[in-house]
Amino acid sequence: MGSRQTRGALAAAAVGALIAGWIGLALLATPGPSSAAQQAKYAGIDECAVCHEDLASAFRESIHGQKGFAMRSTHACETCHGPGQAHIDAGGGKGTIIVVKTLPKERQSEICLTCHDGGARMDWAGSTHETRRLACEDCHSIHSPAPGRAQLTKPETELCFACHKRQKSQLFRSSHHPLREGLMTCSSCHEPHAVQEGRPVDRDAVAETCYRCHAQMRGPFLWEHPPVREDCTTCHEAHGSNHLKLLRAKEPFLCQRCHSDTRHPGTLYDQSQLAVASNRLAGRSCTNCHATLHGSNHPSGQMFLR
Amino acid sequence: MISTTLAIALAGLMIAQGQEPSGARKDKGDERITVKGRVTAGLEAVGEVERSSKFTEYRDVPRGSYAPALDLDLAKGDGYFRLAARNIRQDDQRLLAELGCYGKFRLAAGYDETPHRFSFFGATPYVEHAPGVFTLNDVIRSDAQALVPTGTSTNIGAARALVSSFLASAAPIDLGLRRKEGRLELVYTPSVPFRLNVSASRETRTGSRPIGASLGFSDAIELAEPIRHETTNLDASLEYHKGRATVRGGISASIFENEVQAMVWDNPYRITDSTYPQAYIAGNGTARGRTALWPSNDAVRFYARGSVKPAAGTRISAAVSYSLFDQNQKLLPFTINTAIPGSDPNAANALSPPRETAQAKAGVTSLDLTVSSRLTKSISFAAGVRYYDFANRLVALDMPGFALVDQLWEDGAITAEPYSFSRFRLFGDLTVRLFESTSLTAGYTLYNVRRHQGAEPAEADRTDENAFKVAIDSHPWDWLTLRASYLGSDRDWSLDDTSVAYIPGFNFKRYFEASRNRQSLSALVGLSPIDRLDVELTYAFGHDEYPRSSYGLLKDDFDMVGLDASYAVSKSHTVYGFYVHELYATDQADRQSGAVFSTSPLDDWTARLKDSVHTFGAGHAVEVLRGRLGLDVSGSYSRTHGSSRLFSPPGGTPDAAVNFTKPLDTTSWWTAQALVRWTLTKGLQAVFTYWYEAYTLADIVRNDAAVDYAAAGAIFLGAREPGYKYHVGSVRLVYVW
Repeated sequence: MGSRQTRGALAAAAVGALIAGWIGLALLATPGPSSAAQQAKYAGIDECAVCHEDLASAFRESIHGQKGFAMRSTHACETCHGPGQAHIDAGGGKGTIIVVKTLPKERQSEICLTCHDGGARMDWAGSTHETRRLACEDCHSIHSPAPGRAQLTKPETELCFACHKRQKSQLFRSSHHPLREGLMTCSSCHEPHAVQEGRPVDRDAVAETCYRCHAQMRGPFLWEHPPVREDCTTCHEAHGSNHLKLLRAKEPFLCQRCHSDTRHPGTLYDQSQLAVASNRLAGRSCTNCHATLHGSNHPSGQMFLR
Repeated sequence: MISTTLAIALAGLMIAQGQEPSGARKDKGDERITVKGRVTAGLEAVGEVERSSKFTEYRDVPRGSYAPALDLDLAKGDGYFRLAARNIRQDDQRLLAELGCYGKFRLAAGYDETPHRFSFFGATPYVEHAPGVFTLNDVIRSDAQALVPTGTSTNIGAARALVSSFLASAAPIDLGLRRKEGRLELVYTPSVPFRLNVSASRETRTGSRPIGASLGFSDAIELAEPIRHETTNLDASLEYHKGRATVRGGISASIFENEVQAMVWDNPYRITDSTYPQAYIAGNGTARGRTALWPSNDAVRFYARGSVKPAAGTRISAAVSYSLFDQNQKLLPFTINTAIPGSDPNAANALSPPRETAQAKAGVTSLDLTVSSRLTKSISFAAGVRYYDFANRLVALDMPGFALVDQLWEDGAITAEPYSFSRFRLFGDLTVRLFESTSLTAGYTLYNVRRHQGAEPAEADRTDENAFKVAIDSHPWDWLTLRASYLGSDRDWSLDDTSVAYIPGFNFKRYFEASRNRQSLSALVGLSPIDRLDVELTYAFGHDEYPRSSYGLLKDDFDMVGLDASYAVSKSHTVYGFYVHELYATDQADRQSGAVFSTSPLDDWTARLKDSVHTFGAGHAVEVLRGRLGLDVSGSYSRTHGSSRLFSPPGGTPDAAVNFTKPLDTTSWWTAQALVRWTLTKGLQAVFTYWYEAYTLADIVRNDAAVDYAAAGAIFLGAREPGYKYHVGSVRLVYVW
C-alpha cells in the first residue's frame, strides 16, 4: 500500500475508533436527574421578572421563550444563569448568580453549546472564531427577539464586515457575487461556526463549495486543467474583482503566469498588439479560443479549444 | 403588475383586520391565533441617463407599481407559520414559507429567482435553428469560399472584408441567465436527542452567455452559449445529541443535467469541408465547428461527523466523508470536418468518437480530526489533522492524435489520463490568556499537497509548506479593542530542481505549485475615545514571493488601510463613515518565442500589474420628529484603477515593450441615497426614497467590444457592459400589524 493510502487508512482507523468511543462516552455521559435539594434552589422566571421585567418579557418573546427551550430545560433564565434563589435571598448582586458577560469567552460559549451543540457548532471549539475570542453573544441576541436569522443582532454581512474589512471593500468591485444585491450572504459559502485552520469554507475543499452553485464544473472531465481542479481561487477572487469573471488578474497576463510556450502563449501583448486588434487581447482574450478551460469532455479538447 | 400589487396589499390588510391584535402577550396555552405582519407596496420611477445591463446585472429595478415585501407571522400555541416574500413578481423575487411547531419540526419551502444579465448590446449574425446549432447565411459563405482557392490562404483578406460587410446586419440578442430555485427542508425532532434533516432543491438555469467558438487564429468567433441547466440536490441526515456527545450521519446527492451538451456553428469562410496544413491560421478549412459543452454529471456523498467532550473543557471532533463523482456522457467524434479522415492515415476514424462514453469518475475522501482543550484556566490548545484526497478514476484513453479546431489533424499519440491530488494538513494552536481580557495565540501548520497524473509516481510531485502564526486579541478596557495576527510560511516544491516546464535554463515555474514565501499581517484597533464615538483603524498586508522562480509569477502583494467611524449624536441621530485604500501589485516575467523556443534573454519581458482601490462611504440617520419623521442619507464611492507597466530589454523580440496608453481596467461605482420615513398612523408608514447610482468603466478592450472588432476576421457578440447613470425614486406604503 502506498504511503498516501497508508495515511488515509490510519486516519480512517483513528476516526473509527473515536466514533466507537463516542457512543460509549455518550451512554456514560447522560446526566442524572437533579435532586430535590438542587430543585429547591431554582426560583422560576416569574421571580426573575419581579426585578428584571423587561428582560423576562423580551425573553418570552424571543425564540428562547418557545417550547423548544422548554423541552430541554424548565428553568428558563436559570438554565444559563444558574439557580437564582440565592440571588433573590441576597436582594440581588452580581456575586450571587452567574453573570455570563463576565465569564471568559470560551465559558460563555460553553453555556450556549449545552443545547446548541449540533450541526456546525460541533466544530466551534478550537475554530478560528473561538480561538480569536469570539463568543455566541458577539453575533447573536440571547434575551431579545432580533430580526436576523437565528436572532443575529444585525444583518449578517454587517456583522461579518465588522472585522473582515477587506472583504467588505471587495464587495464594491465591478465583478462580484450578488451579496450587495441581497441575493447571497456570507454564509452562502462560509460556515462561521466551523471556520478552522485550512478550512475557511465549510466544505471539504474550496472547489466543492463552488460546485453547489456551479455544478457544471464538477465533471470529472476527459481533460482536466489541474490548477482548476485543485482550487478555484488559483484564478478567481470570489469576494470581488475589477476584472471579468472575478479573475485575479486581467487576461492574458493571468494565463501567462503559467503558460509561456512557443508562439502566442509567450508573446507580450502590449499597445502594439492592441493597435492591430489582436484577438488575444480583444474580447475575452485567451478564452476567445480556449473556452473550455475548466475542463473538456471533447476528444480533441486537450488544449481546451473544444 | 398593478393588479398583483393591489391584490397583495389588500390580502395583507384583510388578514390583519380579521385577526386578534398582536399586542397582547402570547400565552402558550392560548388557542387564539396571533398574527403579525407587514405589507409594503409602492410606486417607483426610474430615470435612465446612461443605459447598461450592469445596473440590473443581478437585480430587477421595477418601474411603476411594485410590491417589495410581504411578511406574515401566524402563531398559535407552539405552532407557527411564517411567510416572507421580497420583490414579488420581479426577476429577483424571493419567497420563504415556514411551518413549524417549536421543539418538534420545521418545514420550509423556498423559491428564489436570480437574474444575471451580461449585456443589452449583443448582436450576432448567427441564427440558432436548434438548441446549440448556429447557422449563417449560405450566400455569404459561398461567396467567401469562392474568393479563396481551397487549400490556400490566397486572397483571404478579400474574404474577410466580405464577411465584415455582412456583420453590419447582425441581429440583437438577449444575453443573460435566469436562475430559478425551489427548496424544501424538513427538520424533525422526534425526541430531544434526535434530529432528522431532509432537504431537496431543484434549480434551473436558462438563457445564454458569451462563449468562444474559435476556428483558428484568424477566425475567432463568439457565440451565445445556450444554457439549459438543471441541478437537483438532496440531503438527508440524522443527528443524535445527548450530554457530552453528538453524532451526525447522512447522505447527499447532486445531479447536474445539461440539455444542450454540444454546440455546432458555421464557418463564415467555407460552405464545404476542406483541410490543409495552414487551415487553422487563415480562417479557412472546415465548413463547421463543433465543441462539447458542460457534460451532465452527478455526485453522491456519505458523511459522518461527531463530537465528544471527554472531560470539562476538552472536545474531540471528527468528520469523515466519501464522495463519488461520476460523469459518463457520450463522447463526440474527434471532429465534424469530413475532409480530415482522408488527410492522414491516423485520422481515418476522426468522424467517430475514440470510445462511446467518457468513463470519468472520481472518489473523494475527506477526514478531519480536531482536539481542543483548556489545559488550565489560562491556557488552551487546539490541534488537528485534515486529509483530503481526490482520486481521479478516469479510464485512460489513448488516441492517435486530435483535430485542431476542426481544421486539420495533429498527428501524434496522446492519452487522456486521470489527474489526482491529495492534501494533508497538521496544525496546532496554543492560546494563553495573558490578562483577564487579552489572549495570545501561537500556532504551527504543516501543509502538503501531492499531485500525480496517470502513471506518474504518487509521491513525485509534492509541495510542503510550514506556516507559523501568532495572534493577539485584547479588550483591556471598554474603550479599546485590539486584534492582530501575523502569518509567515515557506513552501517548497519537490520538483524545483528537476522540473523543466519548457527548455533547460529557462527557469519558469507555475505559481500554484512553485516554492513560495508568504507573509501576511492583519490588525484592527477599535477605539471609543469619548462616549458614543467608535473609531476603527485597520491595516493589513500580504506578500507572496516565489524565490526559486525566474519566470512566471514572481511576486503578489497587497496592502490595505482602513478607517471606520460612527458617532451617536443622540439616541435618534447617528453619523458614520468609512474609508479603505487597497493596493494590489504583482510582478511576472516571461519570454517571447517564435516557432522554436528562444534562448535569448533579450526576448524576455516583465509586467507589473497594479490595482489601486479607494472606497469610502458615509451616512447619516436622524429622527427629525420623534416617532413620526425619520431621515436617512447615505452614499458610497469605490474606484479601482488598474494599471500595468511592461518592460522588455531592447534588441530582442519584442524590441521594447509599448505600454498601454489607456488604463488597463479602471472602474468606479458610486451611489447616493436619501430616505424619508413618515409615520402616518400607528402601523402605517409612508417611505419616500431617492437613489442615484453611477458606474464607469475604462478598459483597454471592453469599452470597444463590437461584433466586428478585431481586425483579424473575428466575429464577436459585441457584448458591452458600459458605464451607467440612473436615478430612482419611489414612494412606498408600509403597513405593520
